Order: sequence, then C-alpha cells, then structure tokens
Amino acid sequence: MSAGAWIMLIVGVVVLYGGLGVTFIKIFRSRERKEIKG
Amino acid sequence: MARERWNSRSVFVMAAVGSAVGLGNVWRFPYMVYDNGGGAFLIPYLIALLTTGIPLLMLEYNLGIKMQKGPAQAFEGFKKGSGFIGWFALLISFVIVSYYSVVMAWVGKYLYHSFTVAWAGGAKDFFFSDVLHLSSGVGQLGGLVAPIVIVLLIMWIIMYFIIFKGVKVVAKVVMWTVPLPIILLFVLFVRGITLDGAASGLNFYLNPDFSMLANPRVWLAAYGQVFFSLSLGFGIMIAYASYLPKDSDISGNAFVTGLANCGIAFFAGFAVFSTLGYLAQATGQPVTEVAGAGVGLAFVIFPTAIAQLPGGVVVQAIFGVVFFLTLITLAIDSAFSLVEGIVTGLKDQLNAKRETITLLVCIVGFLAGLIYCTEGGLYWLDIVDHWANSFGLIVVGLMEAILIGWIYNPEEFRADINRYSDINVGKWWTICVKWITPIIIIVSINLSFYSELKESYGGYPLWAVMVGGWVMIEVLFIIAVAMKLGFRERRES
Repeated sequence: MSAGAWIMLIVGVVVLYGGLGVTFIKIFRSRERKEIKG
Repeated sequence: MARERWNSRSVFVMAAVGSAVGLGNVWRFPYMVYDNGGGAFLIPYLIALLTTGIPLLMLEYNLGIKMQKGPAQAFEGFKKGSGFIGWFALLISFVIVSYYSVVMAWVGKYLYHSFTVAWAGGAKDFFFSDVLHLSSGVGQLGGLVAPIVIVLLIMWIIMYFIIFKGVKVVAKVVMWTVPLPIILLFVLFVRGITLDGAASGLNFYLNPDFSMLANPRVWLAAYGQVFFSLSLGFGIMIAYASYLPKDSDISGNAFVTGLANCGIAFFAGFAVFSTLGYLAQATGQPVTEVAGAGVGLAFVIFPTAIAQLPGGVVVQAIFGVVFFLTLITLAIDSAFSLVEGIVTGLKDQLNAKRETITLLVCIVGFLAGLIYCTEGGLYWLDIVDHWANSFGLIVVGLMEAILIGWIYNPEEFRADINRYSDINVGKWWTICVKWITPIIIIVSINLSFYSELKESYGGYPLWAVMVGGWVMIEVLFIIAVAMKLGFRERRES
C-alpha cells in the first residue's frame, strides 16, 4: 500500500474507532458524576 | 396501557446500530470510497457524519423520546399539521422494505447454493439467468420466479415472528444479529488480507486523491451516503426511540450509533477490497475492472472471487456461506426495523393489537414484493430504489430539518436534547440542522432533478421511469397527506 493509503487508514481508525472510545468514556464519566451527585 | 420498553440502553443502541448497518455498508460504502477519491473521501464523509448524520439522529431520537409515539403521531403531536411527514416516511419505508426483502430472498437463495458453489461455472450467467430468469427489458415483466417467491415468503415469516411480540423479542434477536455479521466480516477480512494481491486492492480502496475534494459531487456523495446509511428519514429511529423512557440520553446514543455504523462500513471495505485485489490478480485484470457496487458486487463479483479462492470446493463453499450469512444477518435487522417503524406508526394510530397489525403489514409487504420476483423485477427494483432514496427519504430529511430548524425553535429543541444527555450538545447542532442540512439536501435534490431531466435514469424508457419513479413518489405523498387528514377527521368525529 502507498504511504497515502496508510495515512488515510490511520485517520479512519483514529477518528471512527477513537471517536467511539472517547464517546464511551464520556458517557461513563458522566454517569459516575451523576451517581456521585445522587 | 403502559408503553413497551427496551430492556436496557445497550439493547436500544444495538437495535439502532443493527437498523443502520445493512447491505449498504458492504456493497455501497467501499465502492463510494474508491470511486470518490479513495482515502480522501473519508474527509467529506466524516464531516458529513458530524454535520448531518449525528445531528439528525439526535433530532429523530429526541422526537421519539419526547412524544413517546410512532413517527406520524410524534410529528403531529409536536407540531399540529406535520403528521403527514411521518406518514410519508412510513410509506417510503414500506416501499423500501418491499424490495429490500426480495434482495434478502436472493441472498437466502445464494446461501443455499453456497454449499455447492453453484455459480462456479460463471457467476454472471448464474445470477441473471438461473436465479433471476431476467427478461430482456423493463416492459417484459414475465411470470413469477417461484424459488424467489418461496424464499421471500420465508423472509416475511421470519420478520413477522421477530416483530409480532414487540421490542422485547426484537431485543433478544439483535443480541445475535448485530454482533454475528461483525464476527463474520472479521473472518472475511482475515481471509481477504492474507490473499495474494490484497495490498493492491486496499491501495485502490484507500489511496487518496485529494484533487477530488474540489469536486462538489464528491461532497454530495458523502452526505448522501451518511444520510442513507444511518436509517434517517425512514421514521425507524423515531419509532425505536419512542420505546425509551423520557429521561434517556440522546446525544451519547446518537454518537455511538453514528460512529459504530461508519466504523463497520470502513472495516467492511477492507474485506471487500482485499478480496477484489486477489480477484484482479487471479484473473489478470486491473482492480478498476473488477471493482463494483450493489447487486453486481454481492451476486456477481464477490461470488466470482469466492469461486477462485485457493483450497478447493470445500474452502470456497465455507467462504460462500460466510459471505452470504454476513449479508443476510446484516440485512435482517435493517428489514425488520423498517417493518417495526410501520407497525409502531399504525399501532399508535389505530390502537389495535400489535399481532394483527404486524400480520397485515407482513402480508401486504409480501404481496407488494411479488412485482420484484417477476422476470423483469430487477429493472423495477432498480428504478424504485433510485427514486425512493434520491427523492423520498431525502425529502423527509429536509422536512424534518425545516420543521425543527425554522418552524419550531431549534434552541429549545437543543435544550431538550441536553436535558438528560451525557454529552452536552453545543450551538453547532442548531447550525447543522438549520443551515447545513437543508442547504445540502436542497442542492442534492436539484442536482438529481437536473440529471433526471438531462438523461433518463439507467437508460430506462420514460414511461417506466414515470411509473416507478415520479408517479410512485407523488402517489405516496398524496396518500400520506390523505392519511393525516383522514385520521384527524376520524378523531374529531
């Protein structure tokens, strides 16, 4: 694969799967905050 | 009577992802990437996801959760007089599921033939002659193709049994039908990338051509792909969200659904293009010659590649089964979500028993699908699919965006979204719904309209395009308005 293809592969992986990961973390942190607040 | 509820939040997200992830993720997205600048297409695609896909998902989720009703009643309850938008969405859904179920019937038939790799003698002839008995033109409808009708009936029976008891059974089904195709795609991915020539296929998939970003059609293609892929404009997401409690998270669920759907499509591209790279090498052709999308990819190109796999008939049969099982498990939850949207809409309107309404919808859906089971069915499927997508769903999306962005107060709607959401949505949401989405959709509709006037779609005769396209959309719209008015009069009397 060309260097350009590798770069776009990394961009896709980081944005889509990284974005999914960050969303889950935000959801769990928000839930924790809500539980602490009661 | 208390409204049914999803068992948990994760079940709802699974069902929403299952609805969004369908055949298009495998047979449309990879080819769109390749055809629109390779890896460079990811840039407009991700921007489209964030500026239209996820904001409209939030809009539909909030509408369902807030109103606790099916699409038509949710629109009507939200803004008096707008119920026809919901009915129009459900009618478009009905048309789509009537032919989508026929495609599932083809997949079901291929699943059966995979055990013997029956297409090994020539995948193209096998599909068009042996399976479809394709006639010479759109005017030659011919008779019904009995084996397709039988598999179609089986598909509708399966859908009936998934839906007739409500979302509790749907919840159990999606726990299998959502993860299974992802596992099977992983099997295809591993097989694909370990084949000779896989790298050249992947290079065609992802090698970026940034000059394509200057072409507005690439941007419209990205917005179109995101819109169709996320089950927007069908009314499904409103119906599914109406079974969530009122204090549900909206933005988090929308981000997870949107990103998961696009992540699966991106991943599917590796399985598809690595195999196409192998096929190109095995047949001594360039990848550009073997690359394709839609029905051609699923029933001709990929089966050809499977018949060329090393390891003999047994290995080929195994990968044939894996491929068509992937397609059928991807398609089934999209198909029953379409039916569920219609059933929810009718059930909430008529207050009738869910079992009765589901049975009626399934019978009528099966009968409507028979036209696509004829020898000329593929032509009609192609025409109706083009119009339902290019002028049906997208019009629903436009009306939704105008209703919330311009007629209702979008800031108030945004405050509603944020009330119980885990991720706070900023002012960008309002800009996306009020400006970006309507502008993109209006430009897209105008361009499609212009290209229809310039040249008849697919080279079909004008009468066929009128019947399957323009008249079909106009009749659905008139029926939607009549349903809205009819139900209002009934309620008032």
